[in-house]
Amino acid sequence: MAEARTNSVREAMDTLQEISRLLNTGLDSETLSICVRLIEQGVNPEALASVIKELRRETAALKAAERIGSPSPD
Amino acid sequence: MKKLDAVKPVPKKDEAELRNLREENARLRKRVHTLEETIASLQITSVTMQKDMCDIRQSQDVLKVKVSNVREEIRKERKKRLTVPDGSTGREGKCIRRKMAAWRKEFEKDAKALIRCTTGFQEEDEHFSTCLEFVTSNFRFHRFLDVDSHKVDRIIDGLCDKYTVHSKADTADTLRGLILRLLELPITQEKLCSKSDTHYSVLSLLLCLSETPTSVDFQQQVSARTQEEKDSFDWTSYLLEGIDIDTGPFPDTPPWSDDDEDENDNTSSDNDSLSTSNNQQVASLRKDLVQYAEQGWLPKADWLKNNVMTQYWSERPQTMELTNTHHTANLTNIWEMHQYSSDPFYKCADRTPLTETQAMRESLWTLGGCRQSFLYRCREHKLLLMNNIKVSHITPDALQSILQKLAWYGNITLSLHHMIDSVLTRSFSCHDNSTSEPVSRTQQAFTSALLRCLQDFNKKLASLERRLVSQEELVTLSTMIGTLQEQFGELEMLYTVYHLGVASPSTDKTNDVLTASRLLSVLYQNILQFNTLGDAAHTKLPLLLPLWIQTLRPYLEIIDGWVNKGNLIDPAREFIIQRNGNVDVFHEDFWESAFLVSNSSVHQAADTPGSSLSQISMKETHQEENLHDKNTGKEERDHQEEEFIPVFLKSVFKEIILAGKSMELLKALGKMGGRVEFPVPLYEEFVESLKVFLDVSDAPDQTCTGPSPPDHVGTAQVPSTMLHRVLDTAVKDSLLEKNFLKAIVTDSSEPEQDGTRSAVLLEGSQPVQLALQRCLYPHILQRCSTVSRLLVELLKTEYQLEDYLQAMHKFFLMEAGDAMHNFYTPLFAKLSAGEEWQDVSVLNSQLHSAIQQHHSQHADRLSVTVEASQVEETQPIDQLQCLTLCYRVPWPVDIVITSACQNVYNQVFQFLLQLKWAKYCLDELKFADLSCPDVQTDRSVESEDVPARQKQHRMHLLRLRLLHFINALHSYFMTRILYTTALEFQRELSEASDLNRVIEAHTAFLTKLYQRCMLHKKAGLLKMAVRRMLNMAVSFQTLWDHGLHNISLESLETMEDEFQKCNDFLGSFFINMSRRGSFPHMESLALSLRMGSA
Repeated sequence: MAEARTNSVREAMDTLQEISRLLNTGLDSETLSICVRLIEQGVNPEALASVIKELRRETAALKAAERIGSPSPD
Repeated sequence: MKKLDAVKPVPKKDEAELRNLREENARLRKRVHTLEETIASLQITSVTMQKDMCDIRQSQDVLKVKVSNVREEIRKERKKRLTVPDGSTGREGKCIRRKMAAWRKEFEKDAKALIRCTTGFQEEDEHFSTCLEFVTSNFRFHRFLDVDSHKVDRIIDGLCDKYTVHSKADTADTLRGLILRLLELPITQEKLCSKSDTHYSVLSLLLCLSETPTSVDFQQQVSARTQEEKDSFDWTSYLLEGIDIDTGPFPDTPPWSDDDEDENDNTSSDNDSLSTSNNQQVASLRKDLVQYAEQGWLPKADWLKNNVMTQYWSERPQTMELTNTHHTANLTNIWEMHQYSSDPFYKCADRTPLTETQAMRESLWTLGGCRQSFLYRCREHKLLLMNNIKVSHITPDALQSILQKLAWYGNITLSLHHMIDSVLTRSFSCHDNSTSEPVSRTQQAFTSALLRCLQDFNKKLASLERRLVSQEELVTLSTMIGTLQEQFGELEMLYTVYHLGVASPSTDKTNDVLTASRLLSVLYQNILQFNTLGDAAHTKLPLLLPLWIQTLRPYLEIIDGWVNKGNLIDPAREFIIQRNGNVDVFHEDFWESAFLVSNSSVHQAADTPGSSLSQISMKETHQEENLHDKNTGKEERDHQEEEFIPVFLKSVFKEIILAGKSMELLKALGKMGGRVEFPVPLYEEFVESLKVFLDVSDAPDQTCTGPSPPDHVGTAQVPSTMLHRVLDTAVKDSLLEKNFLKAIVTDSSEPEQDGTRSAVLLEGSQPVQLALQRCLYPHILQRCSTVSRLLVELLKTEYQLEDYLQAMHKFFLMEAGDAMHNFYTPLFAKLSAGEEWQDVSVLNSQLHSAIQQHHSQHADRLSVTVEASQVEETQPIDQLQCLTLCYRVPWPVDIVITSACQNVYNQVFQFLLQLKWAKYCLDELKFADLSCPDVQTDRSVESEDVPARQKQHRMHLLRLRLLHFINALHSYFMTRILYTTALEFQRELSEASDLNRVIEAHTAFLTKLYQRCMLHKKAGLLKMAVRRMLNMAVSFQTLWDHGLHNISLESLETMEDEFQKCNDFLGSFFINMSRRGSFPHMESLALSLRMGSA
């Protein structure tokens, strides 16, 4: 019974992964599972989406600044 | 009626029209009537509608109030649920608190994981905490509404329409299908409901994060993954093993339909999903190759196929070949299945299957210095293990841990290779580009020695790799690590040395002196450390000792060049001593300031024997402060110098400096040719001595044996010289001696004695300090003593050092009494007469004529000057303060007799001159000048003669007492102080074996003179008392010359009192000092003064 439940949940996660890929969200499986857990804990999905976007944006800006500041040794 | 008659009958035509008009009129009336009715009804309706509107408005207001009330209640309810009262001790409160704490913990953990996945920051990064705060605050406080399922449905519908518009209807269908399937499945394990808020929330999240979905070329993969799960067990091949199955007329046809195969071929990632198709492809390919081989196209295709390794480093998907179906050989898959079954969120990482041999070879290449490989990548000079492989029989975590260990050692070799490369590059660029700074030779030597060590290590790796390649024996990762354990220990040791000696930060990173010194010190200390471990470090010491010796070579060569030839050749400025270019060899400060210890903050002389003289020559008011500052400054300098000096050179450091300076001086004097020769370089002598001392034979294997020696080692082969050396140098212990003697004498092969012999045979068994004392220090000390002695002899013989010192004593300390008497007598006469005496030319001619008779050779060197007095002349005795003698000392003697020394001599000279003047003043007094008038000639003034006689008598007495005091003082200084001190100095000078000792003896002599002549500030009271007495003598002479009648009793009494006080004070002081025993030479003076005061 538990196994069937686990399989169903896994299937749901796979489906979710497919949808995510189709919609080009850029989320990998690990991040997606974390987002699902956060939503289960009551986090607002739109707030979560805005946070992820903001984090991505800031990370890209930091990496661009680092790349400009120090060229890669390779 | 007329009107009616007038009216003509209406024609028939008009009647029809009239009838029509009437009918139309009736119709119109009816219409108006209906319209009026309609209007009336409409009016009624509008009235009712208005009423309804009013009712609706009222009900809306009521509803609004109700809604606000309900919201208020909901808010209160929520607050009640979230906040538990402080005083609540109920079970519900505790449960809620526990749940909240668990929820917070879980939430924080997930938030951190989200940050890690999205940004890549780790918890230690500086931005991580900022991100966490941002995430937490945004999750708690936001303005977004709760998810509305209808809104989500509308968005999905809109998206599907968009797909359709973009000619992607199949994608739209796929999307709808996937969403429907998702909504039917449970998304959490706790609730098995479908179409829950969670479903829509997740969908809402994905929709918010989607970016231009129409531009993505989507290919569905879910079906292939399900197939992969079934195929990973590979039960088919296992079950079909040995069984022939008729695969039909088309055995090569793949089992799936063309559409599915096309979809599989088009997938860009997930190699495992095509494993089954690839297997069949490989089988078909093999058959084709066999066919071609039979046809002769590829004669050795089979050999190629069996012997050429698959390129696992390329992007092509690989399959894991299972050679063994035992569960231990398939541990990775079993572990994955277990993970898969236990954790619904588990995702199998994309890893390339490798064999253990391949992983070992990759590791060996990395250990050999390869920067980039499939398994290890170099990022910012650090090797990172790429967690991208899997081995069939090792779980990923176990593989990771073992490879991480190898990566760590790979990092060590990478660092060492990087250091070697950088030094080589800088060395070559230095040769090409003359403007760039040269590389430290010590570092170059260390690098070359290290390179040799790494080459030995690489040879070992190469032999191991040959074993792996041959595959004749079983080699696993753990056995490989076991085989290389010893080499790893050596690598760690080399890395420690490199890290402490080269890479560790120093106070001044550009200071090669500290780098070189620290490197040598670190090597030496490591040797000492391993030396004490004895057999436990029997492999490390043979590696470390040659490394240290080779690294030491440039240092020794610099010392050798400096001590042997007087040239301090140090292009990289790495030697502890640096030449001060501002001071040339002909400068009088050469000995003190020409060589500096290289510490960045302080530039002080390497050896400062003359520093104390500079203190003496300073004014008394600043003397003590400067002395204190000098002492503390010297201590700080010594501490800083200690840090820069290599540890093993500290005991001979001063000798090296002395020899170097002496050699440079000899070179400048041009006296090096044929006198100082050390044909064998210091380094070679050191190595030869070391070899002899350690008794290293030509067979190196003998020295590297383990604790248990082979059976053929007998007493005949025991080097008894080594044991005798141990006996000679070790602590004299009877038991030790007895035991070692037994080891030499007996022929027995007892294991303890054999162990002892083998311990002696091992290299490095002797203490390293002892080796240095026997092999390095004697050579350095021999050079130093030879050079120093030669220099002192030259100075004494060819440059008349002693003669010049004698001349200084003669003139400044008035040992040439006759000549100086001839000089100062006319001077004193002028002073007493009150005449002008400060004419320099007159003084000089006076001086030269005084020394002409017996000391004419010094005439051109000796002169006298009169300086403007800086101290206010408060007393007559101070008039002579401005007179200074000047003796022009030639180079190189002026290294010993410096200008500071001459200052001290002058101070003593001035004091002696004052003393002599005081004596002269008293000696020249004539009784006749003070005679009282004849009493008999004039009896009327008889009463006035009584006090005059008394005065006269008292004057005579005072004169005698003063004369006695001055004579005693004069005799004390001239005989007891000057003479005996000079004798002591002569003795020390004759015993001095180097110039340092000469300078120290001279400095000590002058210091003693300075102190004993009461010129030091500590003797201020004494000096003041003596000055007063001297001044009293001069004043007494003036008084005497004025005549008896001009002398008042009061002034006489004052003078007598003053004399008595000073005399008593000085007498008691000298007596106390002589009684203490610390100044025995004061005893005679004390007795003289006592006699004088009696």
